[in-house]
Amino acid sequence: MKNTRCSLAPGRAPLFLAAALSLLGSALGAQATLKVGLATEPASLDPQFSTTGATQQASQQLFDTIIGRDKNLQPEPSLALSWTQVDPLTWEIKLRPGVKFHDGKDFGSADVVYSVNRIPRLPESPSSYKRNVAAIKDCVAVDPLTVRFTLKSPSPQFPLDLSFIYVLPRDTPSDATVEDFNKGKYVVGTGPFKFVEWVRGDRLVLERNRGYWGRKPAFDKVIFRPITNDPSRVAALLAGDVDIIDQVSPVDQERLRKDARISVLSVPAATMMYIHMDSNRDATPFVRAKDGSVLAKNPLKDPRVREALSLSINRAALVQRVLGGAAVPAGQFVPEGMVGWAPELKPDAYDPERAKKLLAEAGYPEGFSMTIHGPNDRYLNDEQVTQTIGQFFARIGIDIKVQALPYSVFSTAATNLEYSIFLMGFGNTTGDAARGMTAVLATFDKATGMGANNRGRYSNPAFDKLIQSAAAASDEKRREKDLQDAVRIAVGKDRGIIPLYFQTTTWAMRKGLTYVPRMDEMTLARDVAIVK
Amino acid sequence: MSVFIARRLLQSIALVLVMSMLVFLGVFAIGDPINTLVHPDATEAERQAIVEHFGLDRPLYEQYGRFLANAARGDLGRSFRFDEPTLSLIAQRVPATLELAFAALLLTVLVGIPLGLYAGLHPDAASSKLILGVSAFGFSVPTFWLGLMMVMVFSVRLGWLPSSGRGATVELLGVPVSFLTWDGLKHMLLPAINLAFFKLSLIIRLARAGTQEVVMSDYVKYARAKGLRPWRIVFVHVLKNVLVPITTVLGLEFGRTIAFAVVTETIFAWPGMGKLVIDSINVLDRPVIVAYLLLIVVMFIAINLVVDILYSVLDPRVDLEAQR
Repeated sequence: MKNTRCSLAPGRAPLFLAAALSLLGSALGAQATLKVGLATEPASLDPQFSTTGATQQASQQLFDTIIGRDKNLQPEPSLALSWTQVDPLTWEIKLRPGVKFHDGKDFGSADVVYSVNRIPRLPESPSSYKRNVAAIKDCVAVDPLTVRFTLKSPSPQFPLDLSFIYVLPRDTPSDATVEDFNKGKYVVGTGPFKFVEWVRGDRLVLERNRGYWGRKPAFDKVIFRPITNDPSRVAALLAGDVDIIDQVSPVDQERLRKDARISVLSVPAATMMYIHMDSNRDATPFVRAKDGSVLAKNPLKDPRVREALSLSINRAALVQRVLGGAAVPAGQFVPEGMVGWAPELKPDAYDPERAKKLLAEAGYPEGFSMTIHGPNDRYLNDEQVTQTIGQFFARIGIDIKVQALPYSVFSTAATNLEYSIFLMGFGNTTGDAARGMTAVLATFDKATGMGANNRGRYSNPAFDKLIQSAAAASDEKRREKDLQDAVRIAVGKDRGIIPLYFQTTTWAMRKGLTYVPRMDEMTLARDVAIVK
Repeated sequence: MSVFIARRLLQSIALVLVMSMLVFLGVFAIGDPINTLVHPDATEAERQAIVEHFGLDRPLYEQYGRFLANAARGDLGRSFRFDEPTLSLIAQRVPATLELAFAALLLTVLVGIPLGLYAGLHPDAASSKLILGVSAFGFSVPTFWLGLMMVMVFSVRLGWLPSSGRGATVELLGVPVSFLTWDGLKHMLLPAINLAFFKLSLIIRLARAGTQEVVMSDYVKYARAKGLRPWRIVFVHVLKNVLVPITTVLGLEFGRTIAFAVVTETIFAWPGMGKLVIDSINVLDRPVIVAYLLLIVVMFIAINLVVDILYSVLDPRVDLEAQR
């Protein structure tokens, strides 16, 4: 900070002035460097390489997406000031004038066209952005600040897709490799920070982009440090080695909230944890009568049994005791604030008596026996959650066994339909319920890709119709209503899945700083502010 | 000696081949990387494209054959996750791990051997009892607990040392090192002690037992009778004989330190290889796991070779050519 400011000053007097100003700045609490301790690390600095949260978190500091995403993951103007649907297959976006890249070059429509066209040409990657450009048939620069997109089929989520496309300058060589980017070559964006240095596993250093078009960041320099171990991250904050940390575990939250030097902020995040049941097969591998004999029917096929299971769970206690309050009970697919949230759909209230009655009505007054599976290394306290759910089931007369496995083993078996009932999570990273419900609850169809995560094979044509109608709706209101009606059927009525809770995500920072918590769990340095 | 080395190298190649097969089979048996790597809501077509891109649809023997053919040309594959060559990914992390391991080794040798020697020469002194007590503590305390406690005391409470990270580095012959800067040294101290503590305890015990044994031997008695000065007896006659078993243990322990420093690296967010490998195992990034394990095998072979050569230097009775 001292160098840049002083070396620009030509004479002696301005130099003093600069020194005085910076003194004044520090007196007001302004600070040159922000140190961030993160639980994760980007896979690459190529902003079009990987959609994982950890990688996008870095991309978001350096680059801008065509359309932005606010804290509830809803589209907001970014490089695009406005977007309009000219006809069902044509979208026109107007770009922000006067934006410059970090190297001083002007940003314009040609850069957008280049960035969109670059994605399909990149080599295959495990989480590529190809799906975000899959709907685009053609994209042309009409004038320097206007781009027109022609789609293959109508897509109301199109603005959402554009909110995942990071814009690179048009002169980025087409043969630029991931290694080039990771060394900092070609890491030229329009974002709030410029690249300085990346030492994998140790630090990512950025400096403020003085020509940034948006709100000016409060810090001249930002250092992101990956500290994957939870207690170590907290220790780094307490020792003053970092100013803000993400993903604070429930155990540490209680302690940090009592510490006068620390502020703690939480938000219900997009990850919805749920119980998935084998609800469409006549025989299911892990459900038996209590004496071990094979049942005539699969009880989980009966909606009354699924409702009984949901009613047997005391979500408030689960969240308080097992998750240390770091979650919010869920009764549907997305939290409030996202598209597809139905206001009247509340989490099922704890009612073991009614649950027993429903089991009896369904023909299982004595219950049955079953094994519930879950991961033990993927989600917050996942193994304990699975055990607790098992105990709730035991209270309504079901003999229960609990088995927790590493996610790599568990997910393979769950995808191969080897389980009867299991714990799973879904990250609603797109800010609406469409993608999640299509993946988890739509009727499985290998050809169309519907129900790719439907590991319980729930199927209801009425629900499928609403999902398809939402996907084709050209009007936002209509689409929202379709998604709400869809969740009312699949979760409210059928209980195709049993939603448990939305994990909250928590940041801790030293007093004097504040942050705008985001549902996508990202820590964006531009949103860290100094409290006056 | 050259015959010995040549024979060793031949054996090593066979060993690496067998290991590569075991590693490949083992990694294959854990699970399907597609489920952990691919975005949860990827469509079937997207999954298929990635499976083909990584060659996961090929039979095991074909994948192994392709791996061997590439390995023979020095290419150990590309990471699924980062799309970078595994060798360069690991190479980026090697200096940090090596530096930490050497620092720990240095601490072990410089502190452990003198303390053990002292305790062996004065078995009844109170200070010797204290040294033994500390070494018993070092044996029994888990590394991660000790690491966290050190952070809580020295970083959080006292604020003397940084809690994690590698600190400032400077380039030495093109390799970034932290021991040449004050900031880097401060960052290195706690993790190095943490990593060295177990080994230190081990070496103290070994040196003490060795000393007690050697002090009673005839040649030491003879040296004393001859009227040699005590320091000469201790540092020439005793120490040299104590060092033989210690060298073996240090060699093996040094290998273990490099390969399994992961606990210390995780607690202190030290950017070494251990972290890379644990993360790769969690998401089943097969090429990185395989490349890392093979490099570790090669490293152990090299260390054992060096240890054997050191024997012959320390103890003239050892004849390498006669070994089978």
